Amino acid sequence: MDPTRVTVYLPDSELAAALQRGEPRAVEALYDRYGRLAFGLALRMVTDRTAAEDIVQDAFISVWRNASTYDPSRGSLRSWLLSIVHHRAIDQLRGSAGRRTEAPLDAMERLTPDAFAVESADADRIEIRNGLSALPEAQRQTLELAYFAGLTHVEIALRMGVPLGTVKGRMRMGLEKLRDHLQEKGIEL
Amino acid sequence: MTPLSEQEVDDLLGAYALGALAGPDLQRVRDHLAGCDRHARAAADLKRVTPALALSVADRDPSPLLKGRILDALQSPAQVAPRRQQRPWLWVAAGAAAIVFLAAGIGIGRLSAPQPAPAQVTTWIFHGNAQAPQAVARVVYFSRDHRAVLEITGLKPLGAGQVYEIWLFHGASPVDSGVAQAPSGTVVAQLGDLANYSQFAVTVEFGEQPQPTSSPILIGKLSSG
Repeated sequence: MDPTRVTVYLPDSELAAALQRGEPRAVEALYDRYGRLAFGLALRMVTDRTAAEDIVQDAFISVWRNASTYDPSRGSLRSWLLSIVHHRAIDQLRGSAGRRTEAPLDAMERLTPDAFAVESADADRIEIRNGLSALPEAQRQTLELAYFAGLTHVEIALRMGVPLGTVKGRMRMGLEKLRDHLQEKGIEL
Repeated sequence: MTPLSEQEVDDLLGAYALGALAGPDLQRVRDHLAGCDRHARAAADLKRVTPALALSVADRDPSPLLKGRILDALQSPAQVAPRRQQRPWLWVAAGAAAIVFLAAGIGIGRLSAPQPAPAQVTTWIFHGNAQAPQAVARVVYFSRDHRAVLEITGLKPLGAGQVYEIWLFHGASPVDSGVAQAPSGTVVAQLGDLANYSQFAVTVEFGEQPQPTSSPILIGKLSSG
């Protein structure tokens, strides 16, 4: 290992400022902090390691190139990064010919204790998972199909065999319950 | 395009926040939000919740090469970021032994004299011989950072007391560069600067040895050409 490399902890707000000043080391720090999270999200969505790494690479480069457009009032640096990863992954899913027949409803990771064990030290994320787990199964599944598999509300209705209005209601109610849970726990994204 | 009623917008806001609208539905909601503060605030409120879904996912380890590729791309903003070539084999998560191997570190020293400017990133792939026909070693050298990453896949389980020992050759002299057991068949390790080394090899040894005591199962030249 390079003995000259020194890790200095910066709050995300200062990291964002460093990014906006164009300091490459800020990207490195951001990657060290959230690279595994970003890759976890991308891999969950596209289920292919090579594709997921390309998405993460594109996302970090995008953060670097567009740092001046980041607005802290609209969410945290982490949420901004994750939204970029999410959009890149959605683009990939919606560009894949086989996506609609292969949408990973059954293959998607379930919200099991094992799946959460890796991140047990992150209290906020545990509370987020608790909030998701507390949703009625159909609501949680609807949110996951939309967010992780990139399905539209029409596609989800067809896939789940329920009326379109039911899907719309599950989406809104699921998000509202999750929002209320986060507010109750004092979690800011 | 027919405008949406207030009720229809209410119904669609969750799908909008989740990015689950497409085509005319999406456009009609956008048109409405552009002129309706109440719904615009409600949509923003729901959108702020969606990163929670991302945070519900467990962290996963990407390839150890990914960080280098990203940082390299930042330093060459005019160029398209280098992407890993498609490989016929999958990147396998390092097993416990490989992680220990990484944690222990196998640095081999830094340059003590100026070197010719080599290519920024150089990759060598070596295939195992008859003793390890499934083994493939990939060495990626980041010359500017004076470091390299090694991945070996397809290694056989070893007997009691045996280890895979990695060698870098300075001229004709092998230098012990670390050992691993690779119970999962994979070794992932960081190497130091390869600038002074001309050859790479792996042998099977009974414990870490100062010099090779068996013929290599993997060997190849680290030529810059």
